Amino acid sequence: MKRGLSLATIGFLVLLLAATSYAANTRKGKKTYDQLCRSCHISGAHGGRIAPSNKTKAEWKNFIETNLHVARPEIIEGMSKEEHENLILFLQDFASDSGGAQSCG
Amino acid sequence: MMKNLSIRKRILLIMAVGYILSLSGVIGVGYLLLEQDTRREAAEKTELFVSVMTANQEYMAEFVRPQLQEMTGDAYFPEASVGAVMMAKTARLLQKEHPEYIYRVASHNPLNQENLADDFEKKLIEGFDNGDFERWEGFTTRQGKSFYASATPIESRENCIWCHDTPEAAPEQMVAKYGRSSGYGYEEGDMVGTRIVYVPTEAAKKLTLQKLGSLATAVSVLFFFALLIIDYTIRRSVIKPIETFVDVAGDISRGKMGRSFEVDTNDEIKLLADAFNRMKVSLEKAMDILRK
Repeated sequence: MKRGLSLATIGFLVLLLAATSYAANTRKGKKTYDQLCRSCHISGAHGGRIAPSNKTKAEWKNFIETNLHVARPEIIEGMSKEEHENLILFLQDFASDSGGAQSCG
Repeated sequence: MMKNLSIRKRILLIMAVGYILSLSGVIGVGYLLLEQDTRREAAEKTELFVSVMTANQEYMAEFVRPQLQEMTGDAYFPEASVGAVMMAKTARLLQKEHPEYIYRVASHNPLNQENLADDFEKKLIEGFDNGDFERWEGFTTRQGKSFYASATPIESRENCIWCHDTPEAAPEQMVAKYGRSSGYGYEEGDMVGTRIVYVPTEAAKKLTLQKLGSLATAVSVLFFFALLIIDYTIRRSVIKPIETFVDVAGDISRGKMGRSFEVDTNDEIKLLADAFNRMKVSLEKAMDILRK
């Protein structure tokens, strides 16, 4: 009984930490997006405006992992592994098929 | 000091010390437990409030807004299509029944300046943006009053941009109503605000103190009755027999040998009385021998 409770507690803590770190990593991905992507991809800039909802989750994963940023591949190549992973998390969280509430507030 | 006190006073003193220690313990532990209870109750209330608001928003986003757009195109009708407006109006209706609740959709860059975040709310938004927490709950002070608050983040998504991109792209009626200086420039993924419910804790704290007062009174009454019972028992079983023994022993010492040590119990006092009676018999025999 006690062992079962301990395992349940550990499981709960692991899930809690995972949820917290997921949120933290998504926000880190947002910072990477602001620094590396939005510096060129804003209205009026030569990169043209982009938004996470321009692609589906699978398209973003494929785009980053296979580096389809042909105009300047060094942007994605220059990212650390952590930046890479967090950026994918962020883009997928706001992708067109992410299922987030589509209403402000 | 204790040696100079009578048995009764000694026991009363011990009981008084025990009462003070017990009362302190009961108040200390009781306060902690009741505060936890207050916190749990406040958390449940905020959770319920937030759930109702979220359900309203989801209903609007899933059922109302798509049909409205289908029927009217891009007509501007925020009461049925903008979550923040719908929730603010719903909250006002709820506040008629529950004026103690405060519900806010706060932003550092709102269209409606009533929703401008204060310093506390700005820190929460910053914490959400940095990923410090996914949700925040805890005690806080607002305009000198104590509240339990629960906050969730608002991230800008594709459909928010409809109104919050630029004044030029936003619905004209909205720009006419809120102006062009604030509430624009949102990008997808931006942390643009927080939904926050404040539940006052003054009433809950007052209730906690009342409960604590009742608990302390109950303990005091219990101790008082315990004291009465113990005092009565000590007086009847120990003090009174001892006083009688002193009286009888005094008479015997003055030669009134007709008296004896008598008790109606069958305990240690009875053993003492028997011993005194045996001593009296021995004394009588010794005096008879001396007389002869």
